[in-house]
Amino acid sequence: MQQQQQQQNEIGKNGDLSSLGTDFEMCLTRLLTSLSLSLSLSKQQTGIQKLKNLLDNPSSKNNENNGENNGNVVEEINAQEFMIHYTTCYDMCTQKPPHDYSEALYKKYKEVFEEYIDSVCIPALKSRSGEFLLRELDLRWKNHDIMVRWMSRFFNYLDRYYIARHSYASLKDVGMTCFRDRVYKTLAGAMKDATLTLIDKEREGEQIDRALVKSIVSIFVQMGSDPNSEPLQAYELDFETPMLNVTAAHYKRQAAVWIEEESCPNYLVLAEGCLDMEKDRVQHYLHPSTEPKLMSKIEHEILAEHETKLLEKEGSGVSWLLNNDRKEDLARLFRLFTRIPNGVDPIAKAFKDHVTERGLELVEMATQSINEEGTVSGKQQALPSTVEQSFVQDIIKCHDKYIAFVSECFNDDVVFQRAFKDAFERFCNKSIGEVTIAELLANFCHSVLKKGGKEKLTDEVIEDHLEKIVKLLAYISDKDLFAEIAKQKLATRLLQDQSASEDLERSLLSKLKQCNGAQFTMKMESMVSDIQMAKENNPKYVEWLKEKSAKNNEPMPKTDMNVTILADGSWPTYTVMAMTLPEELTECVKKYEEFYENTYASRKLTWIFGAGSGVTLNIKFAQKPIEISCSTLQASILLLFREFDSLKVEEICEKMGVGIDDLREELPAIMFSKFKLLKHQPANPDEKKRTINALDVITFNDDFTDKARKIKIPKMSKVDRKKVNEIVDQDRDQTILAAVVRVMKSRKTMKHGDIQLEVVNSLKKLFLPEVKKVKKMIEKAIDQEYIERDPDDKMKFRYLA
Amino acid sequence: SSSGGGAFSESTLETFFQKYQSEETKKETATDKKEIDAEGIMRFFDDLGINPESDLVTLVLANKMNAQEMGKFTHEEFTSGMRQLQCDSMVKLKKKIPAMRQELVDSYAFKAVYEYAFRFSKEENQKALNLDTACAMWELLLKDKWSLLDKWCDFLNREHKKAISGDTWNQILDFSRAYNSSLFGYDAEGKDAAWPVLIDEFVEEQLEKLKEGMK
Repeated sequence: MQQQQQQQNEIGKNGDLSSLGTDFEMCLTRLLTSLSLSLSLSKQQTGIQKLKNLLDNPSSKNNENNGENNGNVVEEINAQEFMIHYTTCYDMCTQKPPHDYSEALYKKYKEVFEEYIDSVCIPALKSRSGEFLLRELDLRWKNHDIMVRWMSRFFNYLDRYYIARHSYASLKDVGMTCFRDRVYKTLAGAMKDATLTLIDKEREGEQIDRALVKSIVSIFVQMGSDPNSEPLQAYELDFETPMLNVTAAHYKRQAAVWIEEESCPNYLVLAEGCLDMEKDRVQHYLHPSTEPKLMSKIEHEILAEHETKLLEKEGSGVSWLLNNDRKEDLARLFRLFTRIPNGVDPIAKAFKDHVTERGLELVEMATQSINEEGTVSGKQQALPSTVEQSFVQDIIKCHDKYIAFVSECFNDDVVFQRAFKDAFERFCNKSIGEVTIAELLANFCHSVLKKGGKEKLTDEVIEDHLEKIVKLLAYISDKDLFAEIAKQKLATRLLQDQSASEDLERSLLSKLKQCNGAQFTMKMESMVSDIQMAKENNPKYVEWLKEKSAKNNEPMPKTDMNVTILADGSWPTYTVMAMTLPEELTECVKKYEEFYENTYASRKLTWIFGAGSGVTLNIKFAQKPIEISCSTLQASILLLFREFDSLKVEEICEKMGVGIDDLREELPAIMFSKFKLLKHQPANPDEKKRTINALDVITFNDDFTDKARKIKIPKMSKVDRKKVNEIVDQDRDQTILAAVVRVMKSRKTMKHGDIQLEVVNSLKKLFLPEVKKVKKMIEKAIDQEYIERDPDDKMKFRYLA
Repeated sequence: SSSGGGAFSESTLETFFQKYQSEETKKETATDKKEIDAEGIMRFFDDLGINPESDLVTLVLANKMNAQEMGKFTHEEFTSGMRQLQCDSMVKLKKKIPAMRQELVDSYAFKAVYEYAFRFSKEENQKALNLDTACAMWELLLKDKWSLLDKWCDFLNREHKKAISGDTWNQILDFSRAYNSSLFGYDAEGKDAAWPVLIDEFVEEQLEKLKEGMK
């Protein structure tokens, strides 16, 4: 007991402790004093009195505005003092029974906290409210924390042996439990209310003491970190849930006002501001786990709840934003609604509708302009090339514009890519009058790739145009129709020497190949190669002619001839017009056949006189000689008039070995156009003008003249839409049949519906097969014994190996 | 010659064949050259007491012989058919006729006869059966079995005007059984999706007509 006495004296000497220190010292002293009361009452009397004096005169200045002087406590208790306290406890616990005071000390430890809290803390807190309550609580909590820390160190010997042996609550836990049970439980509600009031003030724009709120929040958090309860249970139940509810209510009110008063773009700015602010709030003083919960509450209240109304706002909603190219606002709209599940779907739909509408407007405009033109010219077959050009260019612009929306406003989101694609697929598969957009695209390619287009475009611009066309083609379901027309146009360019650049031709083909596969461009590529071959072949022919005439001492033919060998199957089918050629040409043809047979013995040559760039004649008219380039048939007819002054149409037919319909096609260009090389005398003068009948008389117009030295008779190279459709239709039948056989070959046995599905899937990139066609081709495959019906189930088919 | 009972004998069968064999092939030694021609067939059916023009049992019998061509039984076809029937004489064959008639009633056996009729009637080198023959054969085969037959043939002659494929031929029997008197309930997108296109078109036209008739 000597040491205990000594210790009290020490405390007496240090009576000028700071108040924080005092609180703590006092408790310890009380504990030790009251314990010693039962042992040696009289000696303690003086010590208690001294402490009471300290309590009566608390130097409470530090207490009220503290915060910073916690560190002092440590200094107030020096190592010597600490050792004295620890040793006292040690001595009291290590004496032999009945003088082992462990249990009494453990009980007393708790009582000290209880007594201290009841007599000091609670009265101090009870008298305060609101922010003052929070400040006092903050202070009391910090003091309590320090007290627990020191007390548990003084009594550490209990923790190490007595508590460990009995599995009692640790000294720290006992301290914490005292605070929770006596302070927190009574004040949690008031704490929450006061904190929420502060947060609310901040939301209204006032400055608040964020450090204070953060401290209070940390009390809520630590009250939950009891091993017997869920971590964060106290925080979540007593603070977070009410806080979330209050927040939701706050934004519900706020949003209700905004949605009525603000325009859509303003609303978005406000909403984004709130979300940023709340995020900042969480990061500053709330628990991190609160962030997703808080954000989703607010997102729900200000975004999800009002989305429809916001998007549909008259004069500022999503349509208005799209109509007015408000990219920045649209980007914000996307950014915000991407935060809520399926939030961007209505925006994507509005975008799709908007783009579809723009596209349909373009289609409508073009349709109207052909209708107007149609009433003038009386035919609706073809689109005037100006309309065609501007329409395709408008579509390209539309594509550029809205693809930029997708990337700049909508972050290349897949939902928007899909919407964009859907919109283009919708209107790109419309047709303008009878003209499909596939045809327009093919024509557009032709117009930029042929020689002497109206505007002089640089190669870069052309490349760019072609690139865009290939992109647009992706939205068209009848890609095979495009391919067929493009092929025919390419044939025209190649055979009539109209192609502006071989490089550009190849560039288009490689772009098409890249997007649609090798099959798609195979024929066109082989056409280009044929032309290349022809260029190499013709000098060889000339060489051969020279050698031959030198060897046999024959004169060279008077007429030059360029032959292009077309591989069968790649090129469009040309009607082989059986016609009698004039002598000069016959000679050339014979010579070439000889050359060809010598060079490629096994190949068969069929002449298509109508397909080439034609014949150039030098005709001496009465006024001046003019070089005329025209078709082979036209040239042959002109040459007839070297022998005859006039011929009936039926005589021309007979001499040329052609039908009258061929003449009806070829004669107008040299008889009724501005190049009247021939004169026409109808047998029946009542007959409509410009019709050609068997008995009409044709004479050579020797008086013809023209300013130019050279004339090119324009060739009709119109794509016959009906014929193209037939070709495409037949090709489709073959493609579908092949697909049916292919599918059945790999699956062996299949249900009718599954074949349909697989075939459509495998072909839809090229075109969309009709159900009925697929069905017909299934029947054809049965007919051709590729497959058979299952005898027991007519819905099932089997592959016949 | 053997009449009525008695065991089946190959030599009797050969005599049976020879009775109807065409004069031109009698000199042939190779059996695959021997045949019964149109005249012989007429005599054969005459002796059998059957009118080949109108009696469907001829088709059952031709199917037993697996005769490939109209108006001709080869030696192989005749003998293997008779061997299968265990008939080496006209008397024995006559006794089998009622059983063969039963095959025209039994739906499973009839299907075989019906499908055989297509092969039997078409030109040897063709896959499809020309429309007139097809309609005539349907008339023989389905007259009493399918109430929509006239409408079907009428439709084909108006709209189709082309030969009939084997698949369509075969499917018509099933179809006539599934839609015997009315086309009500035909579901071209569902359970009836697999019928040949020609049947779809027929049904579509008929239903369209019905609709118009109701107006």
